[in-house]
Amino acid sequence: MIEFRQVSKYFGTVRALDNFQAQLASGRVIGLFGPNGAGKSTTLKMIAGLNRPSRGEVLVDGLNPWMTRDRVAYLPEVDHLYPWMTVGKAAEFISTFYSDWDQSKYQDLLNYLNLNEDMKIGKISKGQRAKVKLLLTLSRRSPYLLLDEPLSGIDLLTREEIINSVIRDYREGEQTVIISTHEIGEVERLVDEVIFIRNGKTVLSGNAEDLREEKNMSLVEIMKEVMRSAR
Amino acid sequence: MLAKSFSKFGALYKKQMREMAPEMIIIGGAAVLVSLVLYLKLGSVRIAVLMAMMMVMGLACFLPIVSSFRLGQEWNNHTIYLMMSLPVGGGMILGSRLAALLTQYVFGTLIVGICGLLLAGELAPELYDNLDLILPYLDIVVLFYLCTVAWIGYLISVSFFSQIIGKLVSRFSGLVTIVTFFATLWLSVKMMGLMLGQRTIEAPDVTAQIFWLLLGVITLVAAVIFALSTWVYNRRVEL
Repeated sequence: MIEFRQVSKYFGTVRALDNFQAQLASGRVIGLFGPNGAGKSTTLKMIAGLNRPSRGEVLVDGLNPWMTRDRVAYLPEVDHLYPWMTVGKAAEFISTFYSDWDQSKYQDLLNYLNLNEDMKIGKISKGQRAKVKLLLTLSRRSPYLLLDEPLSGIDLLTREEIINSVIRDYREGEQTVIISTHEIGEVERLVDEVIFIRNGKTVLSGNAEDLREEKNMSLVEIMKEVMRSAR
Repeated sequence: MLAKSFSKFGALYKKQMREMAPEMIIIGGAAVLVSLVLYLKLGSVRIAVLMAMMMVMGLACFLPIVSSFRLGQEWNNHTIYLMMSLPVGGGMILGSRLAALLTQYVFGTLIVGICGLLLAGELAPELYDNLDLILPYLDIVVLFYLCTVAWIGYLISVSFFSQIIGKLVSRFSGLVTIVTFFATLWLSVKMMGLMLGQRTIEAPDVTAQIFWLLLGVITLVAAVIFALSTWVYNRRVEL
């Protein structure tokens, strides 16, 4: 379980999170939705232990996120892999640090995503780099999977492959997946729970299916409505 | 547990070594090339040989310091996201980098030293006839070399510390790094001076005692600055 207890985060004078409160249940796929600059990436970075709250507390399984980095597989929005590494070398490097690395899953995903171990990360296309990032993140059997804008700037076909890989890999009830994106339409069918966030605050949260039924709208329409009314 | 820590350290060290491979090839290549050119062309001009080898030695000493400033590139290339999300502390991240930079220094200076000695043997064989005069001072030479390794380690630690402090601010990061670098150098050299001033050295073996003392003081100050860098990295650095 991941808990945010009245978390505020400031970057200089900019307030990224404002008294943010949330309890993210285990074993679910959670969508963290909101416009650019809403505080989605900051939220994920806090869970991954890359950011610290200015006020309040973040707990992952009751512990400081710095202590639980081995339980979290984090896919950042930026290209974070060394460009001189090949896919195989990057996998070898990352696998050293995680006891939950699953080599057979890695091989399986490598084939599924049409990637090759000899590909040099700095020399492949943006879409392929996105797939490599996903490959290295999903090759672990981690309890928590954090995906920060996994579809940003990616073409339609690659998006489909990425979404299908996440669906294919998801271990229902065992793994918590948190997807942060402003492109809700693409991941609407994936999520069980949603949190709509704006200016660092939750504006609406709940079960995706319940919200759709209650408002008789898609999540994209709900987001438009809540963001308009939150202005 | 210990074996796992070693393999993690090993993976980080290997990655650092791979990143520094071009510089190491440059030093090794320069040393061999300069030796060959000098041997074939300038053999009779001993001062030219000496000057050229000193220049390559300077390069071997200088490059690890320059390479140490690559830590900041992890932020520029976003690879810091990968490093910080790994389940290891700053001690291992910075320690592996320090070990790799010291390896670069030792590799560079040894290869230049060996090339220089071989060249000297060819161009001035009479030097080898007087080896028995030099051998009694071998321990002093080794101590001096260890002092230079400690000094490079100290400079690298100051470089790490200043870059990490620079990354704590969002604006004028480069300026903060430079100011911290020189301020830490100034302060730590003062500290070393104070520590050295409190010791008395008695005959015999004055030279060896001085080098041992220097080695101890430099290593201690370098360790303190390194520990401070690790603490700031673990407790204050964020993305």
